[in-house]
Amino acid sequence: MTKRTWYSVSVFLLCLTGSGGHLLGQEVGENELPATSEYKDAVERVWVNTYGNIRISKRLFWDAQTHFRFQETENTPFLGQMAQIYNRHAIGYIHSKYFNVSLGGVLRLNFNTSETPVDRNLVPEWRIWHQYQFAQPLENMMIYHRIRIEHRWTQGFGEPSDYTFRNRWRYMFRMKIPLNDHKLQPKTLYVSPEAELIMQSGKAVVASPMEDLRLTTTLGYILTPRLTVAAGLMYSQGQDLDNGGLYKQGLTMRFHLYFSPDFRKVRNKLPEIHLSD
Amino acid sequence: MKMGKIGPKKILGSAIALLLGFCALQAQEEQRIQKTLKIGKYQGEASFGYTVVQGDTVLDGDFLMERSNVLELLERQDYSFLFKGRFNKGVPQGDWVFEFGDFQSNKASNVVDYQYRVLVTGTQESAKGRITNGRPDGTWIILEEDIKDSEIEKTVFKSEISFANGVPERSFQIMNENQTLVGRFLRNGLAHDEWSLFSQNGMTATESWYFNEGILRSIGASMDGSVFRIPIFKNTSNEQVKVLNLDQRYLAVVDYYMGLQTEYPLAAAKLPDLLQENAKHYANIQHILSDLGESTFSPQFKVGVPYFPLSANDSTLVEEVKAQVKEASAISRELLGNSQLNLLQLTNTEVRSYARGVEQLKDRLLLPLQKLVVYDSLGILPYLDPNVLDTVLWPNGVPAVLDVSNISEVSSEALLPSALHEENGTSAPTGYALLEKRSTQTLYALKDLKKTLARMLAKDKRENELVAIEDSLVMRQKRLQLTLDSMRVKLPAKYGAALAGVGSLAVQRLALYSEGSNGDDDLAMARKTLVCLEDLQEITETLGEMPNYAERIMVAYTDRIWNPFTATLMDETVKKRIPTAYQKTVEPYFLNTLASELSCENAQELHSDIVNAYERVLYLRNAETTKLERRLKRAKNPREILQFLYDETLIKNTRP
Repeated sequence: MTKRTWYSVSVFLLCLTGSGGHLLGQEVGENELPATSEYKDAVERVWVNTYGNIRISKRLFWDAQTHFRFQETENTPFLGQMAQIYNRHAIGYIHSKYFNVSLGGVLRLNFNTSETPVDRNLVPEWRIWHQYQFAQPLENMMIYHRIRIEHRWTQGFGEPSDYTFRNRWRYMFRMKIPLNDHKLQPKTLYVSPEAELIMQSGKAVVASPMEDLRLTTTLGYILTPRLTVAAGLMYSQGQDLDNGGLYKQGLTMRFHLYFSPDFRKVRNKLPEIHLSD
Repeated sequence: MKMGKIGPKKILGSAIALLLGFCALQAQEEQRIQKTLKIGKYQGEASFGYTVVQGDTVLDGDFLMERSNVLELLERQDYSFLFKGRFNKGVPQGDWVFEFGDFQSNKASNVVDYQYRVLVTGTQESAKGRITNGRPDGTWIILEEDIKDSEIEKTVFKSEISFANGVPERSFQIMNENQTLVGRFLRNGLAHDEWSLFSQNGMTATESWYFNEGILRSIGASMDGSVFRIPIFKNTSNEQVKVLNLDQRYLAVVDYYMGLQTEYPLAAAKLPDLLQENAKHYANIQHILSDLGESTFSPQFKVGVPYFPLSANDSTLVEEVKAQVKEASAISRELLGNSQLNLLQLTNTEVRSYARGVEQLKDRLLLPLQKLVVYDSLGILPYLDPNVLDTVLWPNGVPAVLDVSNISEVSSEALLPSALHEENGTSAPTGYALLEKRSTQTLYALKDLKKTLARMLAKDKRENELVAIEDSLVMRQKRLQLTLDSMRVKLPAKYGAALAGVGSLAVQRLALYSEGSNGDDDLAMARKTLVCLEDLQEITETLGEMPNYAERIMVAYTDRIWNPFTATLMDETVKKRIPTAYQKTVEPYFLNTLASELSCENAQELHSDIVNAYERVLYLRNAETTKLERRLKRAKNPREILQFLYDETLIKNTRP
C-alpha cells in the first residue's frame, strides 16, 4: 500500500466516525428502520481473558473464566475504561477426547461507558449457559465446533429498570494450526482463526436476531500442557437491539491466558489421562 | 492212720499234680513252624522246630530250608538250595545235607508217572556229613558237579576229610578238575608227612609239602623239567613253634620264607589253591550254620611256625615304618600322578631325571617296605625271622647308586640312597632298625624330590600361564578396538572424547606391559592388564548404552497430560530437575571423567558409578522427591548432585 492510499482510507474512516452519529440522530427515529442498513463506527476494545479448566475428577472439570473488557472512551482513547467484568463458571463433563459439555452460570458486571450521565454506573447481568464442544484432528491441526446456548437477564443503567430476558444461540468454528511444530505440544506457536455467529431471541428481540458475528485470529503459544498464552484481533458486527437496521461494529484486541491445573493425587493421573476406559 | 489206705482227697490232689506236671512238660516240648527265612544271600521256605529258652527262640529239632522256582527255571534260570539237618537247643547236631544248584532248563518236558519232568543243566554243589556239637564229625564230603540234562557230567571239585569232633584226622583228599591233593593229619590235627599234589593224569607228584608234626620242613616241586627241594623251616625245633591254622596268614608266612630263594616262588605253588578252594566251601557252610545257631564249622588244619616275639622297641620301629611308608606312598602317588609333571618331563630332561628318581625310590625302596606293612596288617610279624628281613625284602640287595642325576644338589649327603650301603661298620642296624632307617631315608629323599619338582612345576606353570594371559591380552585388545570402532560410528559426537579416552588407556597400558622388565612380577602385571582390558571392554559397552540410558530416563520422566484447550494429550516432563540433572550434569561429568581421568585403577568403580547412577535416577521416578528436587535447584557441582541423588534422607519411597 502506498502513502497516498493510506491517506484516503484515513479520511474515509474520519468521515464515517465524524458525521455518522449526527446523521443518525437527525434523520431516523428511535425504532424506525432506515432505508438501508447503517453501520455504526467500530468501537475499539481490549479484552483480557483468563480461562481456567480445573480437573476435579476423571471426567469432571470446573470451567472458571474471568474476563476483563475494556472499551475506548473519549477520555481514554486506546485502552479505554473498564466496560465489563465477566465471571463465567460451569461444571464440565468430558465425554471423550473429542466431546465435552458444560453447564453453569455467568455474572457479568456492566459498567456504563457512555458519555451521557445515567442513574447507575454498574448493573449486574445474569446468565445460565450450556455448551457442547466438539473437537476433531485434521492432519497436524485441530478443528473445533462450539455450540453455546445462553439464557440472559439484562438490565439498563436507568433507575428503575426491569430485567430483560433473552436467549442467545452461538456457534463457533475454530482451528488451531501449529506453526513451528508438527503437532500441538509445549513450545508450539500456533495460529487460531475463528468465526462465531451469535443469534438471539426473546420478546425484546424484534428485528435484530443477529446479535454479533465475531471474526478473530489469535496467535498462541503453548508454554506447558497446563499453560498457554494467546493474543489476537477480533472484528465483530451485529444488529442493534433497538433498531435492526443499525449495525454495531467492534475491533477488539484480545489477550488470553489458558490454565488447566490438576490437583488430583499423582497416582490417579498416571500413567495417562484415559478417557474411554 | 493205717498205711496203704488212701483217701479220696489224696487221689484228687495227685491227679491235679500229675496234670500240672504234664502241662509243664508239654510247654517244654518243641513247637514247629513254617515260614520264609533269610540267611545271608539265601532266602527260602523253612520248616523247623524251636523252643523258647528264657525268652529267646532257639532252634530245636528237625530243620529244613529250601528254595526252587520252576517258573524261573523255565523262563531263564533258577538258583536252588536245600539245607536239611537237626538242631539240639540251638546247636547243629546229627546228619546234615547242604545243596546248592544253579540250573537252566532246555524247556523240553515229558511226563513220567504222572509227573512233569524237565531236564536241567548247570552246577550242583553239595556237602554231606555229620555234625556233633556244632563241629564236623566223621567224614565230610563236599562235591561240586557239572550237570547236563539232569545227569552228572563231571566232578569239578571234591573234598573228603575225616574229622573227630572238629579236628581233622587221618588222610584227606581234595581234588578239582586238574589236580588232586592227598595228605594226612596226626590225631591232634597237625599236618604230617608228605602232602602231595598229583596232576589228574600223572602218576608222580608235581608238588609235595613235607610236614613233620605240623612243621613244614620243605617243599618239593618240579617245574619246566627241573626239580626243586626248597627248605622252609628246616632247622626249626619243636620248642620254638607256635601252632596256627593252615590259612591265608600261614601261607603269607610261608611266602616270606620262600622269599629267601628265587627258583620257586609261592605264587608258582599249586597246593595252596586247592586248600583255599576247599576253605571257601567250608566257610560258606559255616556262614549258614552260625546264622542259625552255635557252630564252628571250619576245617582246623593245624601247622606249626617258628616264633620271634617282637620287643617293645621293635613294635615302636614298626609303627614308625608304617607311618613313614604311608607318607612316602602319598608323596610318590601325588608326584607320579601329576599330569603336569608327566607332560613336563617329556620336554624337560632335568624334570625327567627327577621323576625317574621318584620312580626308582618307589620301586626299589618303597614297594619292599610296603610289604612289611602288609605283614603287619596280617598280624604275622611274630612269625617272621627279622634277621632275614633284609634278604627277603631286597633279594637283589639295595641298589648302590640310584640313577638320579644331580640328586646330590637337592639332597643332603646322608639322605642319599647310595649312603645306605656305606654303613658296614659294627654298629650297622639290622632287623627292624634297618627297615626304620631305610624308610626314613626314603621319605626324606622323596620329600626333597617333591620340593625340587614343585619348584620346577611352579616355574613352568607361571610360564604357561603367562603365555595364556598374553594370548588373551591380544584377543581382548582386538575385541576392544573393534567395539570402540563400531561405537565411534554408532554414537553421537559427544561420546567421542570418552571413547578416545578408553582407547588410549588400553594402548598405553599394553605398551607399559610390553616394556616391562620381564621380572618376577610379570605375571602379576599381565593379570592386572588383563583385568584392566576387561574393565575397559565393559565401559565401552556401557558407553554404547548411554544414549539409551538418557532416552529411557526421558521416557520414564515423561507423563502424557491432557490439555483441555486443545483436546490433545501432550508430553510433560515431570520432576524435571532430576532428569535434567542427569542430562545436563551427571552424564557430561561421566563422559569428561572417561575422557580425561580414566585409569586402570578407577575403571571398574567408574563403570559401576555410571550404571548405578542410571538405575538410581530411574528408581527416583517413583519416589517422593520434593526435598531432593529443592536441593537440586541450586546444585551445580556434579559430585554434589550425585551425592544428593543417593541421599536417602531426601526421598520417601511411595511405591506400595
